[in-house]
Amino acid sequence: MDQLTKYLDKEIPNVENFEREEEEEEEEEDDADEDQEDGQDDWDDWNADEEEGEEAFDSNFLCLFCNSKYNDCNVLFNHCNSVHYFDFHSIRKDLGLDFYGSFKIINYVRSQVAENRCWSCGLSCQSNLDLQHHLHKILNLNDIKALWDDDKYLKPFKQNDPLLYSFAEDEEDDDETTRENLPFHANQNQKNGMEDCTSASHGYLNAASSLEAKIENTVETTKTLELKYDVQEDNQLKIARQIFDRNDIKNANENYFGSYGSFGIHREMLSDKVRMEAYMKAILENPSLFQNAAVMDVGCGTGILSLFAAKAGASRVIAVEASEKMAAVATQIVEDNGLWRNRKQTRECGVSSGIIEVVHGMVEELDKSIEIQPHSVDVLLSEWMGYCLLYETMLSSVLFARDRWLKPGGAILPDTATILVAGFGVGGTSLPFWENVYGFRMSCVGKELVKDAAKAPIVDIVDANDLVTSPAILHTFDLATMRLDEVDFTARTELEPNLHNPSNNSNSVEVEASWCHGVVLWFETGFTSRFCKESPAVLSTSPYTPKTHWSQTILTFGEPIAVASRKSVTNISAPVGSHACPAIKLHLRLSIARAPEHRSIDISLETTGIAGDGRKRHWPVQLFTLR
Amino acid sequence: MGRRRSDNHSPTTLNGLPQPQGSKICFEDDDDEAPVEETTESSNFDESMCDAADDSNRVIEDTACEPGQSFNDKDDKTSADYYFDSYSHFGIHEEMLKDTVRTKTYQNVIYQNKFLFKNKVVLDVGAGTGILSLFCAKAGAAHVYAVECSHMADMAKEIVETNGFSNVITVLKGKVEEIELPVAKVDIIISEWMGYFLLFENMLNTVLYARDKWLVDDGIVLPDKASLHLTAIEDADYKEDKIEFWNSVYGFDMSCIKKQALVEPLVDTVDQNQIVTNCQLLKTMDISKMAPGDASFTAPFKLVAERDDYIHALVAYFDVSFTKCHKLTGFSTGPRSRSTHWKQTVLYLEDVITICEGESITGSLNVAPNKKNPRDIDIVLKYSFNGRRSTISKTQHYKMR
Repeated sequence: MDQLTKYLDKEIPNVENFEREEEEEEEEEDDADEDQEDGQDDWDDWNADEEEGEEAFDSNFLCLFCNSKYNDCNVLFNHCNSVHYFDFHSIRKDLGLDFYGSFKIINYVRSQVAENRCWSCGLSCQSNLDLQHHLHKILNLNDIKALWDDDKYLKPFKQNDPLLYSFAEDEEDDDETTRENLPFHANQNQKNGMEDCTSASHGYLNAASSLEAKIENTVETTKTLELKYDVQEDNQLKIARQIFDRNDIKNANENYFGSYGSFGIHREMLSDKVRMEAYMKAILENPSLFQNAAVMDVGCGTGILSLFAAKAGASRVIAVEASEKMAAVATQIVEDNGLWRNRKQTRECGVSSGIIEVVHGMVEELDKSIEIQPHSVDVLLSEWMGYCLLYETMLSSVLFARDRWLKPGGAILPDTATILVAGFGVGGTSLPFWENVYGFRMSCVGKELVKDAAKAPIVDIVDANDLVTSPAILHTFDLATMRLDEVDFTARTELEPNLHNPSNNSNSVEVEASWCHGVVLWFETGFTSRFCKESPAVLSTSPYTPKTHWSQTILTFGEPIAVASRKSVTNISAPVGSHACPAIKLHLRLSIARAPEHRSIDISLETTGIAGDGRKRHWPVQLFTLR
Repeated sequence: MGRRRSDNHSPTTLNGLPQPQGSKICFEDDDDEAPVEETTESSNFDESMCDAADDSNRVIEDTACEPGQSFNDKDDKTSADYYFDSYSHFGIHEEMLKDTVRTKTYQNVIYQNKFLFKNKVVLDVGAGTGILSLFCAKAGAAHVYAVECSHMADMAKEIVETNGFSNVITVLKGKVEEIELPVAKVDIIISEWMGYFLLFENMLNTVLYARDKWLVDDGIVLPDKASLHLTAIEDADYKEDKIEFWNSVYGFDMSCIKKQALVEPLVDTVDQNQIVTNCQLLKTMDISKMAPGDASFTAPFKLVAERDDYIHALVAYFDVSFTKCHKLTGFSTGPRSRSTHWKQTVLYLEDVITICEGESITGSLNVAPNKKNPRDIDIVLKYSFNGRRSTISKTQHYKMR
């Protein structure tokens, strides 16, 4: 999770710096201007600045898929990404495509589109329009990369295609990015960084002074680390940023503020009773699991779960925290509670003093900082869940820790995670409010809101009374057995209109249709009897149970769909999902995949309505990005 | 304006409910280091790129600030940059519009004082959804220029059209400091510029800029008076809940975080029964005359206990009035008035004061924008108390961010 924050933190200013450096080479004057403005200017200016650089190549770039033309190839790629699910920069990055590789894919895509064939799955369409409707998100690029790996695609498909000369305009840093992303390089950087961290955390150990002093101590060392990250991330950002529009920047930024603004957030987390009580029950009420156990807490934050584990009788707790600041806070807290495990002393005297050791670093590099044998941990503990379960999730780190450090048959808490879904009605939206504001009509704001919400999930509380379908299980993860590549998933489920909805009167023969404006997702994690034999526990973030800081995740349909129970009368001539012919069932096909750029997730939603007479209607697939 | 009220950024509320949008990411603040990094980096950069003496001063200042900063202090530079975009967020507008004390007062001021608006040219600074402009148009204004910097301007245009006022209201998208008005002068400037604690993330300077640039000599600024008040409250329960919380978190000592929590004033609703002392006027501002610098000030106060009680916190709130109305109109955001989305601002004291009726706390409150991010506010509270049952003399620093 730590990285995401870093990402958000740096996103804006870094990119600016980076670009300054770039422009520096070409236009010193520009730099001075920018400096004066010092990032205070609004985004219009920023965009303008960016585009300036491209204007030298003022040509007409034809979209790979439709007839749209752009003056700026980055705007074009932005369009291809948002409209045609073709994320050129991510593809280049993910596959490490060099100039020729990129050249080939452009020609390849153009050749396929000319034949109305889908470039990724090969489906032949009747027309270009059909093809545009069909185009979809690619789940695994590696499966298809061979398709354009043919030298014939080095020949420009379109004569004088300006795109071929321009996509590499930012070649200098693209090259770097490619290089930086080669596993070896990336690891190298990280490794160096981690070593710095290691020395930093040794620094803590001996410092008897206050927390602040420790932070100061480590700031210097960490700078090295951060700088390395900077270089690496900046390059990625440069790419990622080009496909961001202003909105995204805004959203990312708002998340940033929300998360990091205040210690109130920490209190909020710790005051989230649902969360705390589930973990407390799982840890404190399963003594046989924790007595004399070696425990690892991945992403320990303030260290509260480690403290519980120590209280439950663990003999050793390794609390891993990638963020330097929180590692320092956790260290102080553990010390204040007399549970600090002095590694040096333990080694020298052979007597263990204290229980918890806080390790600042990534769980992947743990053995660089402490003495730990692979497969030596009895219980792996983590609170890794994000919004919609998987947003900026630490799940991959937890699974890594499981495979590397957990004893065979060791316990992982929680051990199951389930995503559930239900449809919501107009009450889950703020549309009614905008209809009449002090006597004025502002429904356009409502419309805009839906437009936004049909692309970006909203994290908010949904009242159970506003649900218009029964809930359904979408997907379940078994954390004890799942593989890392199973984090991304596609699942189907079926939603049935909710007969218990108070707005439906069970006495009336003709049941009114309700409008389903979208679906809401939530998750439950289980501390099941597999490991928590004495006292299993569940942590639920559903609309039916007390709210948590995770709220729920709202996916809004492009247009509401009328739903009703079987009894409803349907008009055969009306389209499915209209008021005259409500759907009696909604079939959903939903995928959640980690987005390539950073720890955000992409959610695709395909909705099919089924009428009482069996007719079906498919709505266009929706793609949401939770940033 | 709500200043990101419903946003995650806002201080957590006293009712203990998590803000719905509050992000989960608990300890990721860690990464606050990054901004520090940034600051240093960009400062160095400035220095190397520009030879202005100012810049090197800034570098020194930055460095000087850092060691004193504690862990939650580090990301200040970012908020200003995104101020405008965060405002196009619809939820905030919904909340502000739903604040009936706020919106109804403006509505009454406009509808009940049509003589002020009849055939006048009005400038609406920070128009948002355009609601104030619509009120003015309906009250008979000759023309209204609604200036809005965020994406909301596009919405405002559409709203104006939908409601049939396109010929009276012109929505201008841009910063007040940068746009050009089609007219040389305006008769009235109307704005809802107030932030939490009156001055947090406020648009006051923008209003003053517009006043100096466009307002005719005998023109009107609405509202034209704003005042900041201070009182003291008993708040054992909440202080327990919010601050002392860290002393024992599920039985564990996390008091090292407490000090940080004290530095952040809490925006929340205070029950009037909690008030122990009189309410002291700290500062009055005449928006039609004041200079921008007047928003930084030091004001003395004397709070006299009206009963025997304990004091856990001082509470600040503001009143706003429209003195040019036929009858004086305005609203208060104090604990004795109907609650608004501004609520009150609670400054917790490090220690509890045991006060007897008639005894008084004296001191001063210094308010100034943060040097690095002028939208943040630094508050320095000096107070001393010499009572029969307790004595104390202290200085506490707060930061609204």
